Amino acid sequence: MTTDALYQSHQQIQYDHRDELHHLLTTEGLRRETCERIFALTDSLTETSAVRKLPVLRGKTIVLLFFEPSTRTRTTFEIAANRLSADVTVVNLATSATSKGESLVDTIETLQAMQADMFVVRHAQSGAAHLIARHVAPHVSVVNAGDGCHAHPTQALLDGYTIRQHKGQVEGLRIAIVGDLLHSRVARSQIHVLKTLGAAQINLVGPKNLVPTEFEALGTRVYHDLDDGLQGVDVIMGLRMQRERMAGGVLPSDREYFRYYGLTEERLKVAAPDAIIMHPGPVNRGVEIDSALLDSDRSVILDQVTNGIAVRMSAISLVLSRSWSVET
Amino acid sequence: MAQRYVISGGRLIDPANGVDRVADLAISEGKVVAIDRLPRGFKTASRIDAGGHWVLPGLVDLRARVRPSQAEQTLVSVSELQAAVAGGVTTVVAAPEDGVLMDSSAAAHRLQQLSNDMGLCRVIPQGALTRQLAGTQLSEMAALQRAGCELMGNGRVPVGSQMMRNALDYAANFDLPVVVHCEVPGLAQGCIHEGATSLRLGLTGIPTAAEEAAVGRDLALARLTGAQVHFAGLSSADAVQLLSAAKKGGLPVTADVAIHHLLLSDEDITGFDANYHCRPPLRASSDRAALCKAVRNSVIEVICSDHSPKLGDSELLPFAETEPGIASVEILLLSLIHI
Repeated sequence: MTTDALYQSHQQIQYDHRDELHHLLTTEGLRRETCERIFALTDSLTETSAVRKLPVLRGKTIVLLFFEPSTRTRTTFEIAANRLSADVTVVNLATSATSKGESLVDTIETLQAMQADMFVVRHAQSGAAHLIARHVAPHVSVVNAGDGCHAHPTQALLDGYTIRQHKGQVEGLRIAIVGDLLHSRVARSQIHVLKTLGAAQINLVGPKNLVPTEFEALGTRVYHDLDDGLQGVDVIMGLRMQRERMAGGVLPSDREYFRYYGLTEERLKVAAPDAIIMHPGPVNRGVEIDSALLDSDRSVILDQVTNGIAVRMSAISLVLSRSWSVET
Repeated sequence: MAQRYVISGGRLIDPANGVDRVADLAISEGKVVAIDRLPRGFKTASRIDAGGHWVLPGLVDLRARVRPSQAEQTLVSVSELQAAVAGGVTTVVAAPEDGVLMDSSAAAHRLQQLSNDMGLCRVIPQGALTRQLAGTQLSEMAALQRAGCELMGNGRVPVGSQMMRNALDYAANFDLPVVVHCEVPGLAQGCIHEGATSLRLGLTGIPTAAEEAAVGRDLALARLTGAQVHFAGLSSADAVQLLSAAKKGGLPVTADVAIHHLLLSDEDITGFDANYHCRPPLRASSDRAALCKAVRNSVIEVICSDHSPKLGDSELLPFAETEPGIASVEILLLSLIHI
């Protein structure tokens, strides 16, 4: 685990002076007990799934700020906040003020006048959520719903939760993450969560263009050959392959990528017999993963989607319950 | 300031004359007329007590941006020259850039005139290597030289290989040194050094190969043309190695490094702090060590501030969208002491 200045700065900005989670911006610097608290809260939420709506955040306002289009993440955040009885506003800024030359911080200051208690932010630039967290009023929290290629902490937490659900715990597991690591905020966040939860080995697998060897500085192993990377692993996490990569000259074609790095039942023979398959969605069938495998028993992708709501409810309420304790 | 005065009790540091001791300086009509013992009959109007201070010759900064912010519509900013003087810098070389093209003798005259009128700090214009920095037509280098441009360069605007060859050939006719920036644009699409930190932050990196390839090309062209080439703002160990080998082979090239590349590395970039966004980017700590060594071994002859104040509200934007640059002329000397 790298606990250098960068790690500490991530920790510093996310926790308040009483060591409680104030912002959720990245899983780097997130404490193990914080992850486990979110998982325990999620357990209690899934047990009481009969209760559709909880009065926990009544009177709180959550603003979803989406500077980049998103359906899945935005919807799950919206449902999560609604189930906690918060007032939710969705502001779609993908084509709005900031593209007219207004600075990001100016936009935030305008929106802060809406008396928000929390901003859930998605932005195409790495570091946007950090920038917003530095500029909001002290009582306002920021949850990162994806910033550039940097981080997507709630996705990684729900992945960790799903692994725990199927394998009992993350500790000691061997996990492969396959695909375009270079451009993936999901993968970066997964690596930190899995390290923090004690995974025995994290293999990053893909062509050299998309999986630079420098990733090993994060305590992972880099493989450019799929068979080597999948050897004996308990969990395989696929990543979405952006079609733009082919057009941009990084890779020759979907077909060639699938042939060498596509996940199929056949290629999985080298993994542990009970290995599970995960994917953050949306999936390109036949590009990063074979259709048959996607629909097989190994696939836990639909569980990820279901857990996405409960884990986001937990994360939101953990961050916002901190501000209650400030008031009382 | 009075016509005659004495600076007393300061530590006089003058490397050119091998002086480093506490001494008094007598000044008359803006010139040092005596050290230690005052000339007979020297009547002082005033005495400056410099006890506990250093007394140095004015520093020369080979690269500092003294352009105005958008609000000021002149070629030189008073506040940047004030910053220079506050840092002990009395001469700066201003590179051509958008808005301060420096591709005509009129422009070169005007820059010098304006800065002379401000009475703060001498500004030497670096003449544009190509017209409008466009890289398609040579500038009138000889005319620019007569107008006070002691060296040529194309700022940070890249120049194609054939054009650079022509420019170097032509500059050599007039013994004009040519300053080159070392970055192959196609390889430099990012905003931070390509390495473990860029991967962690999810920011697009610029590999050191972008600098190495540019230095390689211009070393070859220096050899081909016999021009006096100066490499500006080296940031990587790989480039230093190329330069060092070329110098050992007798090629008369020179180089500079920005103060921040001697002090900082990409490991210092925490929390997406855009104050560390500069070009070339802060490199790995091994690069920083190689640059410090190159200065000690005189492979790199010059340390400059590469002063580049950010314009506008760059703190209000995400890291990659902010303008690169570090404002450093005021702390150039102060920082050097810490290396």
